[in-house]
Amino acid sequence: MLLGFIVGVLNNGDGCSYTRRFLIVFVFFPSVFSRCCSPPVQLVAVTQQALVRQKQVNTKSQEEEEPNKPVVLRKDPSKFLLRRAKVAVKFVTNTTKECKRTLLERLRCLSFDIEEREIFTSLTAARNLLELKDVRPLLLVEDSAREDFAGIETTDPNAVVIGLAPDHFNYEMLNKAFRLILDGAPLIAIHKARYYKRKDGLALGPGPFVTGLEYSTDTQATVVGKPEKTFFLEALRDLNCSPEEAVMIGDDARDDVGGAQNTGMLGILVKTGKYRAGDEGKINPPPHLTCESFPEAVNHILQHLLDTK
Amino acid sequence: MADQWPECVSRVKGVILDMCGVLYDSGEGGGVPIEGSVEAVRRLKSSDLQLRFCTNETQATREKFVAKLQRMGFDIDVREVFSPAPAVVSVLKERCLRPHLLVHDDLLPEFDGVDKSDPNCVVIGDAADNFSYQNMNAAFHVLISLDKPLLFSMGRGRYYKETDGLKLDVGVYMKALEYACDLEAEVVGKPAPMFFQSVLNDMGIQPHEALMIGDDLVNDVGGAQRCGMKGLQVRTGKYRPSDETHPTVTADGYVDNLACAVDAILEHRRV
Repeated sequence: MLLGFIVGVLNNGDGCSYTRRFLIVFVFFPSVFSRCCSPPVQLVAVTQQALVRQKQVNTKSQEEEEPNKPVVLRKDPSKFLLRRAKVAVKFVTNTTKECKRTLLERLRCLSFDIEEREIFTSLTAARNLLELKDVRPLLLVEDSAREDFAGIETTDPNAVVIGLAPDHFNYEMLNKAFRLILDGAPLIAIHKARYYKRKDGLALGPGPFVTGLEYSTDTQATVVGKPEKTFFLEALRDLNCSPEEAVMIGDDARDDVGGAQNTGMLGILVKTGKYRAGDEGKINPPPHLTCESFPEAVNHILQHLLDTK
Repeated sequence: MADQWPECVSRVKGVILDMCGVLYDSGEGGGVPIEGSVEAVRRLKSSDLQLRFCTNETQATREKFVAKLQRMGFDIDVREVFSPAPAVVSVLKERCLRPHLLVHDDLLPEFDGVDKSDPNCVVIGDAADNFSYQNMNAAFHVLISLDKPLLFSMGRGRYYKETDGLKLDVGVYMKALEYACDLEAEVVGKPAPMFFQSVLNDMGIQPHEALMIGDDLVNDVGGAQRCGMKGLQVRTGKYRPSDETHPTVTADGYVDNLACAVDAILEHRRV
């Protein structure tokens, strides 16, 4: 819902002569929007349910998704101050399983009006890197993610891309990847998460298998997802915005806030989603700001960080 | 220059041979002997040197493994062979541990007498096709459910050579579980010093009196050198030319194959 309104305000505003003082980058998986309470900015009130569900869908399974109740969806868009403040917004996520189209479709089913170009995922980052290196990947990603690599030549591979792909993490496939890497193929990891949560408990993420392949070949994978610098820089690239002009809001101290700040952005940590007490003390330098919730973060940006000249 | 290969062999009293990649190349149908190796073992045995075999092979019980080599023509006895499974079984018994096993089906008989109920550690070997996502997850679950996760790895090799190409070894999966659970595995087998030491004890000789010959630069050669032994690398098996410029391990000598090594050893001992 938030996304819909933000985009709506942008489109219905005073043209595209925005001065991009700040780029606001949001994470929506894992959600920064959960547990929003009595938000000072109306726009956030809606986002809670929708985005909490996004998280469930992403980390558990599709069937668990409940029917959506977009109660506050039709509120007056003029209240959505963030868009009116004329800043560009981008949504970044470390997904390895879901292509952009599915992501968008689901958001649009929830009445979001969001543009594909506003989403930047670790899969996009991987694709960009493949194009830059001009290589043909062996794709160890789930079928649901393959679409983001459409048009990329994959015959006679000379690179390896690993996402979360339990179906591919068998001995035969890993041997195939190993032999390619030993012959000089670059190893590209969408991210290196140790494990993730499934309905039946914790399950191994791509990280352990990436680590194993690194060991087998004495090489280092190129990690393209958060918290890598290149991930944030890539997300900013098409906006012609420098890291110093951008703010990142996220619930993961290390991967969202720490990663963004290492790139030169300001990082705001929200105490929702996966946040656990004391997380703000786990990174150095500490977050620019730690907020109770996303709306508080938006308020702070509006009041203190935007150049209002 | 008494310490240089091959002059150093004048002081050597015992030779330890790695098996896969030195004696034979593994693969479909059990594998094939490397040319000249059957004869080379015979010549070593008829010399005054002691001879032992030291393998990280965990795809079969020691008995079956030795029987396979005998069929290939090697003059070899089970008592001369040191492998990780019997070693890990004695560690488990000593420390009253009940393992969850992620190993090759053919290795299971080695653990027949071991209590595997309510596991309090994980033991992994070269499980090959048993290294499925599901089996890795099962091992992961046991580890993270323990207060003090304990992982034993039978070897830490990166890969080995089969007749149809290089294959991932147990070390890769050890690293994966180490990373997933944020722990460090206990290695049983090469290059663990205890493992080499048990072979030396069996021969009753000092480390500097022993020569290790293997195709794995890091685990065979480097492991033996760290125990004070000499280490030779053969250019067979998993050997790659880049091994000779390895940043941290330099063999005492590089030889084309076991037959060449034995030629040089016996030649220098006659002098």
